[in-house]
Amino acid sequence: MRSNKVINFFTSLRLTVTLLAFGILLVFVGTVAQADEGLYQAQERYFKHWFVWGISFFGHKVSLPLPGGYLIGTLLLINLTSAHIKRFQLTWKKFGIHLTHAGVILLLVGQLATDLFSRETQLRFTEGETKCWSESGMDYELAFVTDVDKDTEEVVAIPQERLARGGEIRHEKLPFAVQVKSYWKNSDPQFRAPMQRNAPPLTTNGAAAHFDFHEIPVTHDMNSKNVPTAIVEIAGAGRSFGAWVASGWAGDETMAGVVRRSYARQMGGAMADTIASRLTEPQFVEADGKRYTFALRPARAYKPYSLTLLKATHTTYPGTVTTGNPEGIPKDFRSRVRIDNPQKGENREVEIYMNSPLRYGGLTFYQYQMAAGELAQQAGEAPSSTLQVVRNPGWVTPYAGCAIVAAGLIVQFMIHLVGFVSKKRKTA
Amino acid sequence: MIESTSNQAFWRVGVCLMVAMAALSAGCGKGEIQVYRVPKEKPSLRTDDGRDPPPAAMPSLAWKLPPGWEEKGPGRMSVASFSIPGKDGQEAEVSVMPMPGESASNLSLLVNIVRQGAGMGPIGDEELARLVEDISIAGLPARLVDFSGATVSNGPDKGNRIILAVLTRAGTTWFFKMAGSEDLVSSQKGVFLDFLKSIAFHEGVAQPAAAANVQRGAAAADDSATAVQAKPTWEVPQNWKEVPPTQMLLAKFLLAGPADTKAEVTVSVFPGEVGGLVANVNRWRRQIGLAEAAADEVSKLVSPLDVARGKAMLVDMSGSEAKNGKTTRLIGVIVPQGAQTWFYKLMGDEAVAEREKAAFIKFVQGAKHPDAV
Repeated sequence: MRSNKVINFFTSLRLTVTLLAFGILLVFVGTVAQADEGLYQAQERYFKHWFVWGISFFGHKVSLPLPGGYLIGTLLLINLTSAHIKRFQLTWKKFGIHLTHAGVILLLVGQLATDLFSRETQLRFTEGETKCWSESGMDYELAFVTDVDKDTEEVVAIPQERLARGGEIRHEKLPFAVQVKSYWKNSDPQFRAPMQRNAPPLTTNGAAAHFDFHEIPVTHDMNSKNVPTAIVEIAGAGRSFGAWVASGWAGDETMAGVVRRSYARQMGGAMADTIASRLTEPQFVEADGKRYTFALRPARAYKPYSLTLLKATHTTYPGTVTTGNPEGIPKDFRSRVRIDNPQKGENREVEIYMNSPLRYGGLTFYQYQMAAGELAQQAGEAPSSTLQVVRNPGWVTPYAGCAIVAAGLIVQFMIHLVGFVSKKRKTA
Repeated sequence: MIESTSNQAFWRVGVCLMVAMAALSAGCGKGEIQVYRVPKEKPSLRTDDGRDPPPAAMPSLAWKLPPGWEEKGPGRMSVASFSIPGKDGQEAEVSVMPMPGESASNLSLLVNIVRQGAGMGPIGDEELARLVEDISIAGLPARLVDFSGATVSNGPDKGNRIILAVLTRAGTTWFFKMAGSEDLVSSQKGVFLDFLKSIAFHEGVAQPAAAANVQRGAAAADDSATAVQAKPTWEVPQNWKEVPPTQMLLAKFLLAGPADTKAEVTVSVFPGEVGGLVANVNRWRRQIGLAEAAADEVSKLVSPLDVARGKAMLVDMSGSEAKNGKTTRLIGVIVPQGAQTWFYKLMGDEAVAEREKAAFIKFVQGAKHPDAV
């Protein structure tokens, strides 16, 4: 009897309507919260959790618990599936409805798959540069790299989530333990110029001898980035290799470039080069007769093939480059790249440009950013291109789901139409 | 019976979906340590903003300086360079340049790049093979190419003979180049070869190319990180002797006094407030063994000073040298200008500092700083 009540609850249309109402509310609140919490955190907290404990609403914190995206999606899926099972009738008259429901289920499952398995990374390279990896725009990893042979290296990558938990980290591939003493999700570097050495360095090893790092509040601004810093102590085989600072400012080429440019503006290029080199000096420890170089770098996704940027082309509409708008109005961003896949014996050139991505090896490479053309030339920078690399195994499900729903609606409509017309003919 | 089957199906589906969702959302490998083997990363020829990169983990370099050669210090691309004066104003230049990668494998290309830079025409592989000699640098096999060109345009190598030694070591290609007039280079070839023999690498120092920790002969001095910020225009008192600035200094002067007493004046510039007045005065106080002062005390120590563009802050303190307890005077001037702060410091023997104080203040007041960007 009780189970009947439970079944009735989960298969009721009332639950469907309630969940859809909560869904609408969550989308609204989650969208508004992006202004206060930033796009990525709002997406994570509102749509990728089972519950939302407290919301941000037009700058105000409201202690309102809400069902999260996962809970609403799961309950909708259960509601739809169980209602379908309960009321299922194997008859042609209901075929359109079955089809429509199957399409909706595919949409829900597909969205879940996209959420769980899709990954967006970026591949930035200058002309002539070859890379076999892309990097996350947000996530970092503490990578320990050691040589295996003259052509291969082994990487042990500790993700930032693990660093954030603190404590001791051990791995069978590392002959030492990594003790996380501090982890800051966002940080700021400050060169330890003689004038600024008013406090002892964070550690006496590596970059910390020349740079101080401070924790700063996490940013939610879409135009800025959280750059983490960790203070770790490395110890193994009965000895300590000392405490080290591993910072995204040092391990992330892009952020080190930001530091260099910042000092170059104030102190000249040569001094900036010197300062930046102090920041990016490789840090390593030697254990078990091997050298382990480590850096807190953007999380990498390696590919079994490489891409070489042959030519980055940035053209603007003639006459649109003015002193007020030195970038002009872009006409075309275009990257000519060479794919080299030794496993397949493939070596070919392709062009990637706006609305014409490269689909290769289960990934889609979109033209994302570019620093080329006259502006880059004037700044003395080598032409470079950034591709957005998207892995989304569920990319086809929205198309298939919508097609199935449309087909179901048409079939159901036609069944009714045919029935209606036949009935009318009979009565006539 | 039908109801029972329907109930079972319901529970099965519901439980499966919940478990699957929970497992998927909790899993996905986030937070797990990944291990993978990948091809070795080749050094990028460009940094993020397209500039030439600082080679990583560059070893330090030592050599025996041949007589008659003059060190010119590191250049934009070189870790060391030398000038060799000859007769009638002739001059030859020697430079040492590391490049990431093992580009020495294509010697023909390298030689022709150098020739092109010197305004010489390209040579083929056969001719190159005749010019190449096998030598040894730091105990490693290297190749030496000696070539001359009949015509030299106004390329960067102002001479018509070039001797190029190329060594590949630990993923870096080292170029040792001597260029100059035919006669001078010819007479210096043996010296150059001796110089190459004296080259020694020392591991464990990671420095950028232009600031490699170059050990000059027996004396190792790390003054490679000298700033090239444009100096102010200033009038240096005649008795001040300018010496190469050490790390992060823009200029340094030695002021000699009687009986080996001395003081020195240093000038540096940094962006922003660099810690502010109190922190910097206290930093100076620590340098002469004084206790740190509170903010209100610091404000009493500081007096305003008119400088070329606005006001500066002057502090005059006496303390003692940590090593020998000798009385030491420190007169410092902090000049905020735009987004930068300039620091002038006269520090040393009490009597010398007192003698030079007026000249020091005049020097600071007369300095015209380049516009801060």
